[in-house]
Amino acid sequence: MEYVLTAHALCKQYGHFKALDNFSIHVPKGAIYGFVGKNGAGKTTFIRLVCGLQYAASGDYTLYGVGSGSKGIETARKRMGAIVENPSIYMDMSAEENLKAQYRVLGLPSMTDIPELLGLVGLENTGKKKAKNFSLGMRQRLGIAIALAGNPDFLILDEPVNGLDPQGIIEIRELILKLNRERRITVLISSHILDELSRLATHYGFIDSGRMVKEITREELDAACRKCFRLEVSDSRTLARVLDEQRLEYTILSDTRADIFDRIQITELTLALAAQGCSILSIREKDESLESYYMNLIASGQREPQAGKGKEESK
Amino acid sequence: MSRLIYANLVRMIKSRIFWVSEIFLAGYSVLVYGMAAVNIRNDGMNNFTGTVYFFNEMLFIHVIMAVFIPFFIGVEYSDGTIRNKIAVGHKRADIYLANVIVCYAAGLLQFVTYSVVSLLSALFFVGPSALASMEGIPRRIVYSLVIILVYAAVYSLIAMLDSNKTRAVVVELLTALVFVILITQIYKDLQEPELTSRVVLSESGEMEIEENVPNSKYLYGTKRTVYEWLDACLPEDQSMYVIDPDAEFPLRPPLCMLGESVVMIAAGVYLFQRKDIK
Repeated sequence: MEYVLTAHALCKQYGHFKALDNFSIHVPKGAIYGFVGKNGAGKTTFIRLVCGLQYAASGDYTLYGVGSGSKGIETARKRMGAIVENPSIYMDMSAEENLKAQYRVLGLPSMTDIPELLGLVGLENTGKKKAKNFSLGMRQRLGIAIALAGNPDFLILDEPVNGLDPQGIIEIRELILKLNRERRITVLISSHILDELSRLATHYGFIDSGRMVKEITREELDAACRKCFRLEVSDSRTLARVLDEQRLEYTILSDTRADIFDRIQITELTLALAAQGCSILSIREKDESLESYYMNLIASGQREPQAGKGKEESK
Repeated sequence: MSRLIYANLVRMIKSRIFWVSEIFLAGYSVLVYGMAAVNIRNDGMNNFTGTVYFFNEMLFIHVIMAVFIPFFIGVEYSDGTIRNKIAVGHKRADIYLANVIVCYAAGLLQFVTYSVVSLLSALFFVGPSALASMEGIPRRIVYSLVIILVYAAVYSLIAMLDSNKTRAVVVELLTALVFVILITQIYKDLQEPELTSRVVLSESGEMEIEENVPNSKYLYGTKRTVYEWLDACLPEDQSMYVIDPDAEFPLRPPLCMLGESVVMIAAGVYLFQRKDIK
């Protein structure tokens, strides 16, 4: 697989606080990579390192295959656009002036595509209104437009929906999806709004205490978060026999617990189990979300969540 | 780096604080020559010293630059736009140097504005005689340009290393104040003559003036050497010579200040390259 960004054993310390501790990441080309972690987990620190705003204490990262320590890293960054924490915009300039300023910084010879860029982020009608009078959503969109100046093929967005109203969140989501689908831009998006991230991301990286806990694709996550019925029974071996007879897909979690992934006829199953001396203690419909997956992952303090483990133990 | 310089120049030209400083300098020049005209009407040309009026802004241009530079550079930190420059692959050294160059350009424009308005005001309020009394203008201009470079280097260093705009303004104004206090003492001490005269009471009880007596306030040896070097290196001290009609203009001060600027800029680039930016 071709990676736009990778990191290996990256460490960064602020005083005695380890912001990144042996951190690694793999962002595939073309992905929308959801970078998930609670506040202070190290998301922004990593993004600052990649953007060249800060330096790692040890370890390295590669951007388009160029190592962080090599001279070509600045050239590699020219292919990248980023919003770090807050959108970086001149508050006393209009949207168009801000874009012109960034075009000058990039040395772009023509400014003719600025109206198109403003249209792309929905700011084409802001006229001479200064950025300081923009709503938070408008500033975020202007920040994205600035990050898109120069046609980068990798976009880093640090908490782009923070503080936005529902309408703003939807607009940013649609914009990111559009950029990824139509312009084939790889996006690394950090957020702790997991529900929103789950609507976008094709890949996930879960960071906690400066370490990458797990990297997973959407398909793998969907499988791990699959809708199922969790049964608590008096004997899971008997349950397994009955489920085999009924040709149902299941996962045995313990001596008394199991997940069944197919639709079940509860009466039929209850009667079959009763005939073999096994009783059902409880049935619960389980629909794990990204949020609960993440909570499980972090709370367990392990590299694999409960559901994942159970699945590996299945037949 | 040319892209960054161009982008910064455009931003400077559109900057409100830049135009406020320009208008202030132009207004101040008109006011100074207006007052000079009133004085000439009352006392004649005897007390009129052309260089004091024409280069008067050199006495306070460091205060104007101490306000303008942290505001101009500080916006990059407060609005976060310095991140855009680094994130798109510009070298930190280029970003730093481009800022110093544009701050120097701003200082030069402020100098030019004051000089042009002064020229017009002098001709309008006083007449051609206002300019005729000035000597050594090219040397004074060279000195001024070097002095402005030192200010640009020092204040850019502070503004680039302190991401807090307000704190940078305060630190720079305090630095300007320290400059003023330092030069007042150094300039005064160095102006003391080696020999002086004193009044003594003779044996006959009459008051006599004793000539060519060693001046106790005159600086000798290492202390004088240190003061002379400080005098040569401190831009505010040299500003006093720029307006002084009788001043001589040796080569050492501009060379000292050029060296000082190079050291400041090199130190700034070195430290900025190691700075963590949030």
